[in-house]
Amino acid sequence: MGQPLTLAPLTARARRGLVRWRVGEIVARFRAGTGRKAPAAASLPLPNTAAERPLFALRGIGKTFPGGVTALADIDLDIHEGEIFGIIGRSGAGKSTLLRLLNLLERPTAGGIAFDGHDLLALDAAELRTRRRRIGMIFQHFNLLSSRTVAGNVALPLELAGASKAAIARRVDELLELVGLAELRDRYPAQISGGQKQRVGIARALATHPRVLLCDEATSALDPETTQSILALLADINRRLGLTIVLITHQMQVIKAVAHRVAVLDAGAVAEIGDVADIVTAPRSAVTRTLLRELIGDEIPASVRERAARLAADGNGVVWRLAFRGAVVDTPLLAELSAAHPVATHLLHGYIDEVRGVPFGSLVALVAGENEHLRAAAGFLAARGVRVEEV
Amino acid sequence: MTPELARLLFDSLLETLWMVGVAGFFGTLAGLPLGVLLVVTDRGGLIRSVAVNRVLGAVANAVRSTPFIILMVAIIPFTRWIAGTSIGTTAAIVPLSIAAAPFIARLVEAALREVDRGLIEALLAMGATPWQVVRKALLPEALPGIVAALTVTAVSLVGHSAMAGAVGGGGLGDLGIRYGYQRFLPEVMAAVVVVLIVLVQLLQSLGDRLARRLSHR
Ligand SMILES: Nc1ncnc2c1ncn2[C@@H]1O[C@H](COP(=O)(O)OP(=O)(O)OP(=O)(O)O)[C@@H](O)[C@H]1O
Ligand SMILES: [Mg+2]
Repeated sequence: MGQPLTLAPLTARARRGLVRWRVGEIVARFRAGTGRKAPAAASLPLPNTAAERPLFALRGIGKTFPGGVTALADIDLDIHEGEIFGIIGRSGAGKSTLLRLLNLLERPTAGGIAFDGHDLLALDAAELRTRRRRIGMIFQHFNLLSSRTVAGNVALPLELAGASKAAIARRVDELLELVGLAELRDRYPAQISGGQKQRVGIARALATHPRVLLCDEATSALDPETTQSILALLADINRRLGLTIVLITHQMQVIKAVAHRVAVLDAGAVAEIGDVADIVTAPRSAVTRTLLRELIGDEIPASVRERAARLAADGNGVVWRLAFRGAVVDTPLLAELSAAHPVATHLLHGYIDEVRGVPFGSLVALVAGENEHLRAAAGFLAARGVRVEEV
Repeated sequence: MTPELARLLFDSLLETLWMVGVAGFFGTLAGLPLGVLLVVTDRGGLIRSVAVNRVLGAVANAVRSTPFIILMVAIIPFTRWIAGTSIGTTAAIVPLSIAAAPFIARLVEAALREVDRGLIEALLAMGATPWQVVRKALLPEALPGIVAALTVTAVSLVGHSAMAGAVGGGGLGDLGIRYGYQRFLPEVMAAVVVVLIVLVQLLQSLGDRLARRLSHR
């Protein structure tokens, strides 16, 4: 795995998946004897070769807690080897529950989970423990032993696995080097910063050479700068070691910064799932748009909106949110709009960004003009691939 | 203070320390595992077992709710069977140990419950066995709390040993009763009280220092 962060994720595999999907679609159309798209049989194409076997395959997963709270319902999810898979959702959406299912800290009440082709739910206690050494985990509140030094904490999983003293010493040095904490090896957790604690957590999670790293809100207790440094470390580990990473967060920034693919969770169900660039630049569900709003910050203050609305009403105008991505970003959109149609535009908010090499932006503008011109203007924008939404 | 009185005080102090030390040792030997079991078998524990938890809890409560003086008398046959006699310093160690065990168990239980659940989860996620969780996380993390628990136990054992002394167990309590009360020597009584106060102060500050030293929070 050597692709830089800006390239599309897992292109070869994704493309292969896409091709197979298209072939399946064509076959389905052929069978149905129509030119129209056949309804999708399953939300995900089931992998059929060993090479395409996902690292985690969740099918029909449900979780209802003893109290009667249904945290997850009917989740289908594939997580592929080598990718950074993000799970985002609002508080209480079921993110932590979903993540904790992956190493069976929580058992599902419905459905099945395969890890590397093995049915996780069929393992007995001893087999599960062995399997868990292949699944590292880091936590929002770090969960380090206060009674052990930095080095002692990193050594812990190796001790549990019964490694020799010499092997432990060697591996601990290696890991502390990797996360840049060699100097702090004899400090206690109480004597280091939050970011450093999370680095210890990462080193500890990597000790037994896991196939995957599960991150439960790993940066939520950190300041923005430290968050960036931890995310950079995770991305680096993903690139250098080819380690699969599953991270949950409620912050779109985190997803945007490191994830390749993302699942948006809402009330225990997957609202949408796909490449981060697609989801961020062309969200399809309302939850995703809400979560993006936090990133884009285009909430127009009530007073401004009111004035704009009055202006709009007087002069026959509307407040539009324009969302676009790709080449359109480079064009003077509003100027061209005014040139092509007799409408006046007044910019209220603008945002431009890039996710995995795809530029995207959003403008909120008051657009005034005759009704027919407004309609034409909307058509002009839509023709350029701009999503127009009335605010 | 006469040399004989000093000698008497010193011997009695040694007897008290012996009783407290040995009873503390056996009490910990039984109480520490009992405390761990109370935690791990409880609902949400590592090896949930409601039945075991209920039985152990009931036994601990029964012993703890029996006043020490009654416990001491009630188990005389058992004491005689273990120690060969029912009077004297060594005999007193039997009921003292039995009283100390559930006391320690409950205090240890409370200390273990203070350990963050997240730590236990972290160890389970690493593939730790329940026993490894206890040995590598629960006990080391709760160690300062356990030391504090043992300090409280030692102090209360000093008190109980004085009570045991009153019925022929030896130690400072015995000295106070026999000389201070029965022979009416108030200076002996006063000296005993002073020694006890100093002893308890010493134990407490020693325990506090050790607990603080062990804590890296
Ligand atoms: N052990 C439990 N017992 C009962 N209900 C639970 C338990 N754990 C979680 N839940 C419930 O399941 C739902 C999902 O919880 P979960 O912790 O997975 O949400 P989350 O998306 O991680 O939220 P947050 O962002 O606040 O951490 C919530 O309604 C929560 O109250
Ligand atoms: Mg959570």
